[in-house]
Amino acid sequence: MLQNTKSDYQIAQQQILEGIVSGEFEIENRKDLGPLIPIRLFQALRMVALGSNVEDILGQGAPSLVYHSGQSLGLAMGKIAAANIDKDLETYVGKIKMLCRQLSIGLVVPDRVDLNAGVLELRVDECVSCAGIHNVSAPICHFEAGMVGGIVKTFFNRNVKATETKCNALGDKTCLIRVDLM
Amino acid sequence: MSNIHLLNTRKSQSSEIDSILRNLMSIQGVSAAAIIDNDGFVTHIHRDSEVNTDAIGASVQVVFGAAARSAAHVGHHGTNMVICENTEGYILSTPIDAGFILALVTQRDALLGRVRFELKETIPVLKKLFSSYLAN
Repeated sequence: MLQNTKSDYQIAQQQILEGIVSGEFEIENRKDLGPLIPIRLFQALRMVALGSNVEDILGQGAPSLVYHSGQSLGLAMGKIAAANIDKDLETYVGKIKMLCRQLSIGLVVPDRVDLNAGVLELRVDECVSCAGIHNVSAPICHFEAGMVGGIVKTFFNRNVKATETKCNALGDKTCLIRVDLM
Repeated sequence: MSNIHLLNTRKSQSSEIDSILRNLMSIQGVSAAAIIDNDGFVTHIHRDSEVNTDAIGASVQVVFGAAARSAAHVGHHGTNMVICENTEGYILSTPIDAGFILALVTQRDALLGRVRFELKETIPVLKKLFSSYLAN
């Protein structure tokens, strides 16, 4: 029989997302240290806890998990941005850009929008996950790809496939995420 | 070198994959047949009922990856198939190429040996198709 109770991670997730939605960045129990953390700590969580450690256990399944996690965040961000904008793409992108800047995820810039071809390309400059990381052999920002995929999916209400085609960690100076509308 | 593999699902060859999935769906007890890419995205699917494709795609990749890792820990290298036996049926997943996986969902009345045989027969055909897609 299916249980309808939330796990502790789901409870924490809800509180974190509600905090993002509220736009309130102050946080309790951090009176001296405040709400901000060093980027290297985030990268340790992203590339170690949600990267190499997950890869040790899941092997080729690791990028899927990371992409799916990013997509969950993107869907939540999309819901925030889609509220009260009457399906206006420009306003939506503007709100997403602002949200990504507020959260220090990166500077999101639409590079190409071809709705006839069903393709969007978004740049993430100063990407939080791979800033200061070099010499990798393939794009590593699966989380951001999933996040962008979730954001686009929310607006168009269609299945999408997001792929990181350029990555700062590859020496590309930016992360470029291509989204195909299915 | 980047290992990005964009599979253009709009290509006309895509119908060959659809045809293969349709054939698999005709096996007794098979209720869904899907191809999942290395990011857990379902690129092709045929199914009898509604399925959360995002969730099933990621889950299949994660389960396959975890099973392959656990096999490696006991010195078994080269995982060819993962079978998940559930009260309601089976989920079988098999690697194709470049991280793509073919997954079949069955009901309880499916003949596991038959499904497994058909899956093994199908993989070389899909491998050939994918190698030509990925080369282009």
